[in-house]
Amino acid sequence: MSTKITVTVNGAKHIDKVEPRLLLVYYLRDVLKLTGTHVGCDTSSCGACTILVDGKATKSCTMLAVQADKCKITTIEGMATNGELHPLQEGFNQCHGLQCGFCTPGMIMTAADLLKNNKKPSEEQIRAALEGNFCRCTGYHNIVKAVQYAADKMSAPRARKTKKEAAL
Amino acid sequence: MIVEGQIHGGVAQGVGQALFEGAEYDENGQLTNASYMDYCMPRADDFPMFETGSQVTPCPHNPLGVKGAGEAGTIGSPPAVVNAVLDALWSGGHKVKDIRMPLTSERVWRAMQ
Ligand code: FES
Ligand code: FES
Repeated sequence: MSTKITVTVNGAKHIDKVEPRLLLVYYLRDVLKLTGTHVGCDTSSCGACTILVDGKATKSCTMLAVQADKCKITTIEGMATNGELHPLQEGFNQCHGLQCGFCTPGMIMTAADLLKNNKKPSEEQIRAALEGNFCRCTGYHNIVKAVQYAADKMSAPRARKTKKEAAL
Repeated sequence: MIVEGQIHGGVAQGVGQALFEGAEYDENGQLTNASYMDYCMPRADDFPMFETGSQVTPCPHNPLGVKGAGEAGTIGSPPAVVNAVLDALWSGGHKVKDIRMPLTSERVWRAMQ
């Protein structure tokens, strides 16, 4: 038996019939084909599947698609606006905040939730916020820097240009 | 930047090996920590920021002088962490000469008995 759900994903409304046991992450990846959200563990441990549900960072392998009925969802695909990278995406790019990139979408979504509630987080606060997201490659150093970069840029939107922008 | 990033990652993996990570088998040969639910990987709040330095010596065995760098951090960090723990134990009056990785709190506690 399937259940009808209505969800807004990255601004677009979707109405779908889903099995009640379908995890939200598989709804996003397999039904909506939004494969930017990754699955690392399926057990709420790694954070690779983190998305925003009504603005809150949520591990989408821990939630059923039917629970997301009437919710507003943002995935990594919804972070850039009109081809312009979100400051967090730009930060990961500029600070070499990723190597294999598997953890990156989840890191960015978790950091987006942090920066919404804390415009100038300290290094400790960034590390504490990212504690539910595993990264095997970077040792977290450049991820912390990428979040700091985004925090700076978001609190002074026009004052700072990326290296790329400055070179143009 | 890429080399530094690789060193950061390597250092973190080595610290993980020294402090948390290990494949644990029971007496029947069954791996008992086969998922992230049981396997402890280091997290962002387990580390400080790193400072890296490099001594550049071109490799004599190929025309470009290049060599791998990614593993370098992994080689140095486990002995550094284990030696630091042994040093701390000695300064606390515990004459421990050898302790097996990963240095979980239980292992350190047992070594102190
Ligand atoms: S896949 Fe959801 S936390 Fe790992
Ligand atoms: S960049 Fe590879 S897991 Fe984070």
